[in-house]
Amino acid sequence: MESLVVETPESLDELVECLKRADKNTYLLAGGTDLIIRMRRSKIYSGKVIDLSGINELKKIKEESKYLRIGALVTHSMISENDKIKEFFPALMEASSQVGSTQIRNRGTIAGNIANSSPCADTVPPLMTSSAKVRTINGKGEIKERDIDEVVKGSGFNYLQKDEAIIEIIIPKLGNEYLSAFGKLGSRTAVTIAKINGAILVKMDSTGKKIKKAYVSLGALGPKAFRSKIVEDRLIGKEISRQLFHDLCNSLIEQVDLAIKGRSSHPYKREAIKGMAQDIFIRLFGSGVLENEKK
Amino acid sequence: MKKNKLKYVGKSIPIHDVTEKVTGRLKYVGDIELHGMLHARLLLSDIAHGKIKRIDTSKAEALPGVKAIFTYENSPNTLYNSHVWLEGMEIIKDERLFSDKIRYYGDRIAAVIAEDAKTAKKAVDLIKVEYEELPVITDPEEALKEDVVKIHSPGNVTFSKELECGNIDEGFEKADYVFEDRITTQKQHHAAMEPHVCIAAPDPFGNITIWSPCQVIFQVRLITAEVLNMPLNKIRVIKAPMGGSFGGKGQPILEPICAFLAKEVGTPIKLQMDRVQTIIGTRTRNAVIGKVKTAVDSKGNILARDIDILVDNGAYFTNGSAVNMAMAKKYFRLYRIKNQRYKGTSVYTNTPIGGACRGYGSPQIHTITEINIDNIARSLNMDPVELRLKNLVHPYDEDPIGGPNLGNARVIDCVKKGAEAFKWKEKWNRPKSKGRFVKGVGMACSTHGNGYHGAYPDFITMSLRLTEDGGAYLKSGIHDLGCGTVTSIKQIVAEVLDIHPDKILAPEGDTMISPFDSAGTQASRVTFVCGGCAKKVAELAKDKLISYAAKILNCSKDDIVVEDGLVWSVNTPHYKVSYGSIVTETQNNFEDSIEVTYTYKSPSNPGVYSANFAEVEIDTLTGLVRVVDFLAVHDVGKAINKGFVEGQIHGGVQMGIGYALSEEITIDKKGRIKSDNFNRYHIINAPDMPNVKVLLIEEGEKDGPFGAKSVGEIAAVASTPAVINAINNALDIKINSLPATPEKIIKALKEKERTVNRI
Repeated sequence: MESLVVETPESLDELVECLKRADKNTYLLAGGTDLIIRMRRSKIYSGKVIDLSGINELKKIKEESKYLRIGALVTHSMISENDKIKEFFPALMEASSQVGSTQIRNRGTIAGNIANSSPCADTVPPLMTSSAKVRTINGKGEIKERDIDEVVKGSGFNYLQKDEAIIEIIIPKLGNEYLSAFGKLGSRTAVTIAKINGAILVKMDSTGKKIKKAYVSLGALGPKAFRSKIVEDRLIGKEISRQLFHDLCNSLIEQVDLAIKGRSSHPYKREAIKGMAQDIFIRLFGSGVLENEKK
Repeated sequence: MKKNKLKYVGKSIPIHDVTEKVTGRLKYVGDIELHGMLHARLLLSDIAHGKIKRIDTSKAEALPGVKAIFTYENSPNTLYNSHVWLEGMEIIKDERLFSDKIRYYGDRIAAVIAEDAKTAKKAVDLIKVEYEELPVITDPEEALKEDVVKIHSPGNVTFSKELECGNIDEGFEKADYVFEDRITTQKQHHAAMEPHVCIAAPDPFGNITIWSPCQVIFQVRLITAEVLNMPLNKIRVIKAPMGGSFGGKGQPILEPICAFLAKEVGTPIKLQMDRVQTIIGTRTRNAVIGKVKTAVDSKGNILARDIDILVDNGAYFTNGSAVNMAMAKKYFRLYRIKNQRYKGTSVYTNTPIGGACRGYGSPQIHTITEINIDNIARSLNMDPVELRLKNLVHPYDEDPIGGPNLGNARVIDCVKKGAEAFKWKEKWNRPKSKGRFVKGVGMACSTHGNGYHGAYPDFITMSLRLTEDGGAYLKSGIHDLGCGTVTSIKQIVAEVLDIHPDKILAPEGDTMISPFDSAGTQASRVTFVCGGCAKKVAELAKDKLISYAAKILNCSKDDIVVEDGLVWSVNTPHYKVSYGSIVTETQNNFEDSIEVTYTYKSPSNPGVYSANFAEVEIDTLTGLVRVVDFLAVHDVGKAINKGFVEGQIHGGVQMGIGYALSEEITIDKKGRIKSDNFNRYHIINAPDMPNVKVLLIEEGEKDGPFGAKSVGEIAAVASTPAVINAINNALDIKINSLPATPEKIIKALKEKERTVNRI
């Protein structure tokens, strides 16, 4: 009779042993908030589940001189409440704090969010704006570092090999000159799947008034989140002003038009993205700019 | 006898099973395990319309642990209508246990019985069905057309009726203005926490016992007996603890199937649905298209109104006529409009089946007409409160189409007191905000009934016995849906007998021991009718107690004082005996029992009324709406249990806001259901709920127990149009299709922008 085997490694060495024997019917279980639902929906009754939850070394957020290392099993709740992430990369903190419900955030992990590769995964856009790296280990014990884009394939698929598991997400500690924010548009205030989400990371010049570098990533507008060159170009070299906000909105609309024109969701998303733009703009630069200057 | 101050009625006593519920010790049907029990799961169709060419169950049968599989090929072909609750109701019968024709996405194809639920599910997934697909109708207006596919052989139109009072044409001729709206409402899922579930167990005598969290035990028995061709007495139905219903468990859906499976296999069977099956494969609130035309004079007096209602009863008829008639009746009972017409039609579509759903037509009809009323007010530049006050019904008005008198109808009080408490005038006249977030207020009224009197037989028998220790045992077929029926009934009996409610045993319905009840927990009849019976039977028992007490204490009946469990004669106030002693002495010396059985016929059917006031905040960039303030004013006659009444209203408002803003069973052109789980079917959750304030108008109703009227259903009505009106008023748009999703609001704003630019 077909059966489902569960393996429970408690260290990276044991994980490698498990991965060695992995095949196409092997599934990695972290928080399970996506996997269990997918297994039920896909009617998977047999195969092997590697339950990562016993590997305690993957449950920590470590600070190094230049990087924060987020263990694969760190939950969205842990990220939402972590002071270091709030200090060095608020966009990720904001994204994690808006994933699902409290219960989902208590179980769901950052690595799971990446590996699940949903088009509207909340943590992917902020990670894409930074030079975050995904560290993986495989059945041979080899450790690799990749960009998010090289891991997320999209529409629920990833590029990981069957014998490969994410073990860490490494994000750079961004200095004071960097500002980041995340925005999300769902169908209600909380416990909602993004209709659009996005993150913006900017590096300000020494005056603190002009954008030197900009990184913009948008989700739920295609099979996976992507960097928007159109929007980034519109921000680089600009001063913080009301005009900049309008440019941001217009470029986002342009990007939405390019991405999903013709789809039934297009007319709404091209309008509503202005709301998300305003949320992000205010989080980045404060509400003063929009209030003080007149039209 | 002094009876000025109420001792138990009006108090917020906790629900009878609160401790068992919160400590997880209460056994719901899903928790029950019987010896030798097997598990069943249904296969529901994944197309919306077609004929079954072939069902291949071989792989499923080969799966270890699978015991049996049933389809249309090996099950009764009896046609029935699960809406029938009383023998003798004449109605379309179009359902079967399993059909060879698929009429909607979710139609029942097969049931698998296996050792455990997981195996049953696996086996269901292994069944292959080949269909010959037919054209799909999802739009009720499409179903009306002549040359379209017939979903059932007699045709797609299942019901039509016209009701009229006064002279419509005359009314419209005199009008200064006529305002017309076409408003559509969607299919709503009940969203009870407990999905549908049932256990049936056969015994060696050929009886079947059914445990079901249902609303109508006698209806479950009736339908099951009909389908299985069994005597009523061979089927016992026990009302099990219920994790919510809201009408969703009002019709027997799983019970006849489960009983059939148990009978065939000879073991207890548990048949359980998951959320997806509960959303697509049970019942829904009927979708409605309403075209309303209202004639007014320049002062805002409504002269005439004409409405055309099209009810989408889904793939099977069930209550397709009853819900339409329920809407018709409410239509005539809220405003004093001399000339009115109601035209109602019901049609089949290849969509989920309609059925009872909290409010039973009231949310639809009031949504349509109350949005229209507000649109009139705005066009006349009138305060909608003023417009309503000019036209609302007054206490003891007659029903213009000959229905029962409206009773102590206090809707004007609801509006006046509500407007004051809500600071309506101030909020209504506030200048409109200009920024991204725009606030606005809206209000709406509604009416609902109190049982079936005037439409269907409405009676209940109860039996009350005083016990030897001074308690009381009330036998009746009541069903607690989680709203506190048991406790409310106990409060009524306790008040009459003057004993503590804890001394009363009032079990829920069990067809083997409960006296007959004509209609179960439906039609907002429980407090008014069943409560009325409980009061009457308690009074009769008390009278019997007094009679025997007079004999025992050697005095006249008039000299007897009954208070707090003690009885004495005014002549000998120092000698007090307990109720228990009277019961015991009656047994020993008079060979009688202080016990009464009474069949209570509901004497009237007054209206209940409400006025709801909502303040919304709309994000004009994203179209997201939040209800930020809410006041629900309800004319309840008298609250038997204040906490329950407020709880009903809080829950009803939550359901109504969801109906206004987000809840919708979305169906694509092929009839497939997209919002088949809570990730896509969004009810209003805690972060989006306002703090709901409740104001009760307690002016008493003559025939209600201690003056009480219904609240459970009307609680879910006026919030919907109040929220839509608030949105329309805030943004100066006309939302005419529910729910008012962000997409529709943004679209309406864009259209308004274009119109303004054109001017």
